[in-house]
Amino acid sequence: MIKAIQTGLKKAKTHWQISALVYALNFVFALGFAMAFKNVLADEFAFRDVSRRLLEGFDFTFLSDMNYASGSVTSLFKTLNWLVAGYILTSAFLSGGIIASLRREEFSLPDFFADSARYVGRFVALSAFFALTVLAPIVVVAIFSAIGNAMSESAISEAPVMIWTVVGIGLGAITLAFFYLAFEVAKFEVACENKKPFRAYMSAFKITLKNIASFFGIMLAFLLCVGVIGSVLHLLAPKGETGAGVFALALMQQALVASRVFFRVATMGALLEKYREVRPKQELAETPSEPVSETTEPIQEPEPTKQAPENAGDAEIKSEQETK
Amino acid sequence: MKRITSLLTLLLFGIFSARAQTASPRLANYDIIASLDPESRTITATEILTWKNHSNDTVPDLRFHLYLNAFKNRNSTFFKESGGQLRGIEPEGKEDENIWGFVEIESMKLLSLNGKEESIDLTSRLQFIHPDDDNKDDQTVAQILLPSPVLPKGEAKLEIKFKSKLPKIFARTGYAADGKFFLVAQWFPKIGVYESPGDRYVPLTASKGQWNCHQFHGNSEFFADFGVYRVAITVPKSYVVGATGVLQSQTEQGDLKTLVYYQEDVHDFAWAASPLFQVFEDSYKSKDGHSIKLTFLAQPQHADQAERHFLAVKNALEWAEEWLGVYPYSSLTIVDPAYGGGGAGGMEYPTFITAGTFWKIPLGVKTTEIVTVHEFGHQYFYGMLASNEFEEAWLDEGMNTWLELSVMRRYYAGEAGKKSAFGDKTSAIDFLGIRIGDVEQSRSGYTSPSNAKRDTIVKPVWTYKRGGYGTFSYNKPGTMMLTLENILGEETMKIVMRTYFERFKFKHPTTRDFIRTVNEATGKDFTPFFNQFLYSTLALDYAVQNLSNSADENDEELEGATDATEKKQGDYRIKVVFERKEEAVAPMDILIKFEDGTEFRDVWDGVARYKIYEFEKPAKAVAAYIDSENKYLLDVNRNNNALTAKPETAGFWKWAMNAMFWLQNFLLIFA
Repeated sequence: MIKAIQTGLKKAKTHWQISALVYALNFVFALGFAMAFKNVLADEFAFRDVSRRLLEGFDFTFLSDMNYASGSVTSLFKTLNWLVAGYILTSAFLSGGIIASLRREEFSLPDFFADSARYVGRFVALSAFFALTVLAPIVVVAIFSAIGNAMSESAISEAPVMIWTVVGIGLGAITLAFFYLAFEVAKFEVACENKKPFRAYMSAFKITLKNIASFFGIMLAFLLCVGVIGSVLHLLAPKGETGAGVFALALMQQALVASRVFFRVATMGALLEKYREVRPKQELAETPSEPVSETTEPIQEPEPTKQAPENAGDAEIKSEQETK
Repeated sequence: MKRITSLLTLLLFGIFSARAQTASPRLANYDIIASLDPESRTITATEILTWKNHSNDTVPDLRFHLYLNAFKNRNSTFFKESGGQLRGIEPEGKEDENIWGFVEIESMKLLSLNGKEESIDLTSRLQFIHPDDDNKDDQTVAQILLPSPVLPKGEAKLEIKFKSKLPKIFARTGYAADGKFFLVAQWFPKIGVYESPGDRYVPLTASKGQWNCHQFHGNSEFFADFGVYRVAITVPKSYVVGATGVLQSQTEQGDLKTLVYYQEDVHDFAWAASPLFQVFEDSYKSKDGHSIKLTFLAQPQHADQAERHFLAVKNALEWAEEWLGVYPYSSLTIVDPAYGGGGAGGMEYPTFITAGTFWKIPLGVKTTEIVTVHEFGHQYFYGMLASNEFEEAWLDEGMNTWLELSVMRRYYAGEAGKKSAFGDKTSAIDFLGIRIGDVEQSRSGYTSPSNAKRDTIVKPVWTYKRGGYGTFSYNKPGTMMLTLENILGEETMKIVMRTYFERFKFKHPTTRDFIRTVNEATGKDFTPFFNQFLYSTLALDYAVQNLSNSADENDEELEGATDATEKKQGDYRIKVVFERKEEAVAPMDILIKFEDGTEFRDVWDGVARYKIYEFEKPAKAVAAYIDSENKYLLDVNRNNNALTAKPETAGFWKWAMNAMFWLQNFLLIFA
């Protein structure tokens, strides 16, 4: 796991362009909303002497009286739904490029977009499967909630019921994290094994389940890094009570987002490394020699690297070449 | 003989002086012996009621509240009005389960009438009546025709044997925690209020008085005469009991124990019993020097919150004694309802309140304090100022909301909050960067566009549409009282409220009484103010409509605008337009600031639709404000109360950047 983490960090560093691309995409989408948000407020209130109150912090009276200007705010939040949908699709599009790029030694923008385009259909399908699996943690929480309600019938204190609820939410979160990891592995299965989305997801479950400790370990290690950086930035962050303060605050927020993106790419790199290490041999043998029927054009494997593979994980490329 | 005559005279004088010294008229006096059977959730009791006819009428009948019958089935008026759920809790369980409650009068006997001993069984004369609606299934009010009337200033003494089956708690009263918690309220046959000509709204010219004895409604329950209560309660020995009044004695008989409580000058009696209670005690020294024993009956999981409850009550006591008057009783019991009994939380009874908290509730979430302060406040607005909650709920809940907001603002707003517009930024929530003051939270319950003009404050509570009761009995009157305080100033408001309290304590004050008190104490006529905000649906919204610094000869004439008021020689022609956007009218403080640091202040009577100020000055106007002192919390939209010459957007950038940051983090889930 440590080796995978190191590889992930190294990949994120050498392929910094991936982080830059993901951050840029994230920034552009969010900035679009932020600008619209700011403009709605400015159109309604720029001359109303409320900016000063908002600089001081959360202002409930401003918020409650915004009911009288709710039309523009409502329409703003309606556009947010489309924005999120657009971002998810774009992310699905880029995933193929990210994974394929992480398998290479060097980053190439044309290859990145070519790979992105190649896998987009199946990655969108995978995203849809993942969206369905989000129901699973909801079911877990619902089950715990039902048990909690049954407990509350005879309970004389809310403490055990609340603990039970928190445990239920925690287990729901762990379930969600498991499906999220399986989603990641399924992407590898598509990109490396050329599988159909459903088959990829099914085998990804098995692989994730078998290696749950190391996969979770990788994810938690990088989450911890983000947590530490976030805590430090939170301590250093200015209150943002002046224009300059707001600018400094925004810079720190973006630093945290950028670090999150970097560690996100590192997580993918580390998971990919671990995946290569643990992928069942039987699966390798079953790898189809022809592109799957679902795709309309043959799936091209990434260009062979100029240098020799530096670790066992790259044996995969060799084995794929052998199957051709 | 002379000596005997002298002694008799002294005795009579003593009796009359003692009577004159009683705080209340003591018209309805109860002596109750009750026994709780936790297994069957039933109380078996005998009540001796002595009712005094204070009127000059001969009263042929008596009327009783039988409130527990509101929980008898789904056909009661209470149940229909509440839609089967109230206070956020629905009755659970199947129809055949032991969830329902009722009070059954087993016998009623007249023991004496107008000073003459009797022994007449009245049970068969009992009939249910429905003074408020046509619901024949409602059994919350009963009438009994007496064999002969109660004479003017006479009295009737009755013995009532009854059984009260307690419902599973979903609103106010009943049992919870599988029978390990009982909150026993509205549990005994309670006589209504006989109002004679001149009382409250009964005209002085009326030929006769009338009973005021409303059915039990979804939103209201209190109106009763003061009296003396002596209640003996028998419970299993393991049960801890808290009740209205002072514990006089406690005796044990086998597995049972009997506790006797006594309290003068109250108009209700409630109690709680549970083997789960942990008992905490504290005391408070009243302004007049007498000691008040504070008891907190806590659920074990809330034992660490005893200090929070005591501090809230002490703060409220200090404030109330300063702003209203002395708390005359020597005890106050705070009951923490058991889990599952939340519907009984946040209730008020004389010298006895129920609070409401959660396990490990953060210090920054101050609902525990808000509920405790609010329910304590009812010792004044309900307990001593015993207005008719059915007909004028705002005198009870609205005034008490003002007390709650005032206490929370004074003791929990923090220094930063005190400097803010309403003097309150953190007294409701100060947690995870979210800061909300109790004042602004309560105000927001009224000011939204969908609420502001929905209803009036003064109307019978059962005629409110869904949600209207909370808005117009709590939020709007609380906001109105704070507005009144801002207009009058702290010292004048204190005089008003002390006068109101001293004049009407242990009586049944009305809205009219309060308005008269305000007018007398201030020497000004506030009737138009109250007419607008108590009796009409008019909303208040003033705005700065326009501010311009350049001359424009083609300015449009605004309909309803008053004349310009001031013109001076200078380089800029400055024009500021103020607007009354809604129908309510109030005088408004005007403030215009200029770039050379000078200010212009005025008071606009607020009558016209627009008010235009024009100046010719060497310095531009930089900002204009209406209600610049933030007096009118009733102004439903305060975001339009200022207008600046230059835009200022830094604050919007801050929140846009915050929104962007959180959105970015959310989007990264999908990256």
